[in-house]
Amino acid sequence: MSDRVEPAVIFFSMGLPSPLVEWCDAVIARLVEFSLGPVDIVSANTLEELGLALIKSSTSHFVVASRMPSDGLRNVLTEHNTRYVVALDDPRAAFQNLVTKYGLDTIAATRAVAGSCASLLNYTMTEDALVLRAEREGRDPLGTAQTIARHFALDVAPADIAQIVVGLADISLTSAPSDIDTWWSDLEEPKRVIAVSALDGYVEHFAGRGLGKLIWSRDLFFVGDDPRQPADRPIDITGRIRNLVFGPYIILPPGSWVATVVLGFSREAAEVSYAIEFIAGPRCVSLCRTTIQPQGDRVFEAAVFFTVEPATDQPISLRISNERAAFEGQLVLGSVNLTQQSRGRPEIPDELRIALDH
Amino acid sequence: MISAVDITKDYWTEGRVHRVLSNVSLTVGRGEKVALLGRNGSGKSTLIRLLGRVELPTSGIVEQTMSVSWPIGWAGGVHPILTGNDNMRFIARIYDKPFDELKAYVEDFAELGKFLSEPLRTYSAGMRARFVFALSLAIDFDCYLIDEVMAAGDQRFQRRSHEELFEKRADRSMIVASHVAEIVKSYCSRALILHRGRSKMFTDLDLAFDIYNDL
Repeated sequence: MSDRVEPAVIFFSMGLPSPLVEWCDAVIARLVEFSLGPVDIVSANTLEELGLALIKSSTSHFVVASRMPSDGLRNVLTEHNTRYVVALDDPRAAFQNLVTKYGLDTIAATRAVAGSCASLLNYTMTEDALVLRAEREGRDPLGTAQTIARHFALDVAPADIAQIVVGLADISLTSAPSDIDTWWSDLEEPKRVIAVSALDGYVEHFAGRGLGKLIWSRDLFFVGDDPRQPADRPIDITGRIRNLVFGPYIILPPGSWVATVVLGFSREAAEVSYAIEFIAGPRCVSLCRTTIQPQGDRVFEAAVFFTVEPATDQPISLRISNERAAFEGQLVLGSVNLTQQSRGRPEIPDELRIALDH
Repeated sequence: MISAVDITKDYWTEGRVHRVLSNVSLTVGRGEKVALLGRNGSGKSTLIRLLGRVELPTSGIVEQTMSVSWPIGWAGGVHPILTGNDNMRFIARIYDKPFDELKAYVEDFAELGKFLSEPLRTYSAGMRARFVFALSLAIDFDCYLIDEVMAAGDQRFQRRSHEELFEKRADRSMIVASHVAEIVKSYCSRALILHRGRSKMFTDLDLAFDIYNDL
């Protein structure tokens, strides 16, 4: 075995699942091909997925396309000063792309875009990130391709870059805002409301106004007795202690959160107590759990506090269960409203310590 | 078959209407055994009496296409002034059963001896329960209504009662009001839970008891 094994070179292309990031994947791949040789585009969001993808591939160079990159991956990239591209767009454009191009139903698209937004928040904040915005870089394909080449230190001649851009002319980088607005206004209102509620908070963030409130509509949740059914209707609580509602399995950015869970109860159901728990990841690690006793209140709002650490498994979900067997009654989930709490001033703990010492 | 369709039963107490049962429906087929579960005061005995036509519902219909016992252990069908023998003659005449045959069964089962010649009002509570229970079983019914009577009497009597009902009459229909999970799960195929006048049928008896225990 005398053939030299070339070291693998990996380039990371992250972004909301919109036309811009797909164009970036393709541009980076072409640039790498021109500069280094054969390249594969692989999908990976975690270190494990990346490892598996590399093992399966037969080429030496890779473009890793990530739409929900994990915090673990980010830590490794940051630790090794690995450069990457983050392509941002209007979350509505990403939603439209998933529904029209990939045929996702609106619920699945809402989950995907919300998760992508949450994943990318911290990726835009490092020095190694080249952040591209559809409304800006999306209008200058040639300039953007040149910027990407420089970012990755890929030695490609300007004429070749121009040729690459021409060759990708059939891939639209961005949609006209009017096109997005028209498509959204044509979307059935219930579906639009579900998506807007879950994504508007991120629209605020990417517009530089801080992370707004996230609202998870009940359509994003599942009925415990029949996970194929969305929790968009009253649920019969008759039966044993069990999960009545769970979901929506959406990634949340790290931080302290307060969730307002809005529930409606029939008269009989209001006499039962319920557990509300937020859990993380596939192992269902509990982030917080509280018990509510409506005691006659037909509409009940429960405020639940929990923290998502950078190392917390994702995605995040909620489960609501009855705490004793129920003879009859119905429960309906209204919505789950999430607000990120601002972190306290770091000097406060010292102030407290000083005050206590005195 | 015995069926109750949208049964409602109200009682007047302290000048107000107290609704014990509200739109309760139940159908029991031939050979089927159904349990009635519910907390004290939930209406089990009331429903048993309505099914046995000892009382009439406020609204709704009770239909019977098979012979149905009176509530086993219920003492309303016997007269305390009459002797045990005279009560037996009365029942034998109503149900067209030979008196000697009925008497032989009751004598053997209740083991009251010469007290059968005495008025019922002289019996102890236990004696009366044994007599009434034996009388209930002396008539062959297609469906037996059992209202927690299994808890009456000493251990020997309970054993005999169990044998007479659930072994020798295993092919009969039964509607059994009982708190005893062992009896219900051993012999019944369904359970109707009564709670605050409303009812719900369960084919999963473990589930029924989980709910009943948490009422």
